[in-house]
Amino acid sequence: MSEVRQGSASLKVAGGKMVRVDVRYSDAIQSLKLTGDFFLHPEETISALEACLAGAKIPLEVDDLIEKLNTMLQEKRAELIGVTPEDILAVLEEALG
Amino acid sequence: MKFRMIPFQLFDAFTNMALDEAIMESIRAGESLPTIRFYGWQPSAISIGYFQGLNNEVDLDACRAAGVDVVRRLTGGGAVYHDRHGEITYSLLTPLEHFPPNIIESYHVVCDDIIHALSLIGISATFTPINDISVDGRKISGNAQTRRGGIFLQHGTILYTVDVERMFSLLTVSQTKIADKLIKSVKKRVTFIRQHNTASIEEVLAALEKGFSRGREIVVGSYSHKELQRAQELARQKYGSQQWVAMR
Repeated sequence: MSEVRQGSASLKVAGGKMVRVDVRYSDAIQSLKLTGDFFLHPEETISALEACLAGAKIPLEVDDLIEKLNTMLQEKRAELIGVTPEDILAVLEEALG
Repeated sequence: MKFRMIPFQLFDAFTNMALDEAIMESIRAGESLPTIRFYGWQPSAISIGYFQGLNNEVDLDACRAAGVDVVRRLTGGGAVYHDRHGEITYSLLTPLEHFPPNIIESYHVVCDDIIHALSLIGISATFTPINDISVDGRKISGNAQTRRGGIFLQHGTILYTVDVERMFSLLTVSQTKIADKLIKSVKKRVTFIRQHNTASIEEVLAALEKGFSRGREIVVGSYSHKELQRAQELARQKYGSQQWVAMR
């Protein structure tokens, strides 16, 4: 079994908000937490957003994960403001080193 | 449309956030009118956004030592230092259908009332998307919104004075060097009413009351007994709880 590692990274989106990711991972993402001064309506959707990324195999299939996030947001009629799914994937990749 | 306007009162951080939720519940139940309330924070407090990591943002030891409360908001956005003497906070709560579904547009609608109020005391301000109001490119008001169970809430602060050094002594900044740079940069990016004129807090409040009265039928009122009771309960069980404050 691969060793579980931890990483974190943050990004201030130009003209937008700050997003930070703290992640535990081995050959896949074990768990992650997204924090920052962005907005997400409804706010409780944050759990679904994190759940979309948990379990993802590394290296990440970035485009697939962006699509997964967009689909989830659409299905839950949720609105992410100040950061985009692309920003979240960029900061997640940085956290994974 | 008819709104209840509740004049400025001081509460602790947990009660302030609990009152917003209690009023949302009352409006939803048809027991209270849409509401605009003005309030301050006693003791001074830091509120963090719904999604912020508590330990990423706040120096809890420094807050404890300074007697500053820390509360998590129902709304997203950033950490705010609410100085007892340095700011005015407002909340606007109303059924959702009274505001544009587009979030940025609805920020603009509420912020226009504040911009009008500032113009009444001679300050020319503009809406800066996503959620700020600026004077000459420097932020004077930050705002945040949530929509829950059919009710719209926007709350925000209007800066009267700012003590940037004190603010940064309470927020988490890992290196002194960075803190110095940040303080200088925040001083360039933030402004406050006293930097522009000598209006008293009472004059600013009077202007805000006028600004928020535009196009609305206003009934000056107070919190209902039920709202105050529910707020006490929410302050104790939710907003003052470690589970909520340290949720992220």
